[in-house]
Amino acid sequence: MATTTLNFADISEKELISALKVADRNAYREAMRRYGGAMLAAARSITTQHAEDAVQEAWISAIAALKDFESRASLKTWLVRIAINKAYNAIRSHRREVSFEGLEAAHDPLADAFVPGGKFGTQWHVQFQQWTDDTPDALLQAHVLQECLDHHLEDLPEGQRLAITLKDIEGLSPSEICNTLDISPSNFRVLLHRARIRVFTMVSHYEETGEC
Amino acid sequence: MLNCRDVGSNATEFLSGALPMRVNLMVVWHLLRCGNCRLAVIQVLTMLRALRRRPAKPPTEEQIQAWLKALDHDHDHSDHSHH
Repeated sequence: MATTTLNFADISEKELISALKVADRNAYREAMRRYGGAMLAAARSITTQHAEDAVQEAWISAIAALKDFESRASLKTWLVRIAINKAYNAIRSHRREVSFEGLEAAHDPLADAFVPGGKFGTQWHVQFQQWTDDTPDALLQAHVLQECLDHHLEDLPEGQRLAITLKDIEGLSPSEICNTLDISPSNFRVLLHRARIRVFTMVSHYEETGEC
Repeated sequence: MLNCRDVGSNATEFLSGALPMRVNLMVVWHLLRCGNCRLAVIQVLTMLRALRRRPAKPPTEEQIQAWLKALDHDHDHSDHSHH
């Protein structure tokens, strides 16, 4: 078969989709290699315990539904959405709701960030410094920081971790996230804002001290 | 006029372009006059751009094998149910 001679690592997404639609096993493997990590990361943000099973079920559903895939979204986005739905179904079938821990005042990272004073009446408690890694590329290449980021993302309250993973890392739209998780737009905005500020505070601390 | 707390509380919405125009203008006005908030907002933006481009950890060979096996199993099961 012609597709077996392709170097799958180099083929475009369009070629990969065509090969997937004719059930080429090498294409399955390549799609799993390219997108399996993002699917796992998204599923883990919802349920660490059932993420592996959710992604496995997602592949089965995705391959079965490929004939209907119309490329309105990228293949990655489509697969990640399926993985998120499977993960969400998994926790519901285990009679557990997604916890939106992270909305309480105790989880507001800006609660103690300001002091009275300055020309505006209230100012930041800290004076921010220019980061050593002051571009997105430089941040991505700072390996210790990336490990630190993994650690801190895991430690976020569940609702905040979901919000930042699905919106800022996986790139889903707010309405899609709210629909999938059955959460109000205003609660989603609070969770996302707090998660972003917490991660920013962590990166800022790392850039200033070199410590996680 | 907004203070630094107001700007910090609205910073990520500001970067998402989700603030009402009037509040948006007030944030911009504050940023023009406050170097510390300006630096914070720039750094949050840098961090968000990095997060968006952050590659996921690739799956292990064992995970890929398990997924392929599950597909085979599902395929076999579908074939049997058709006969």
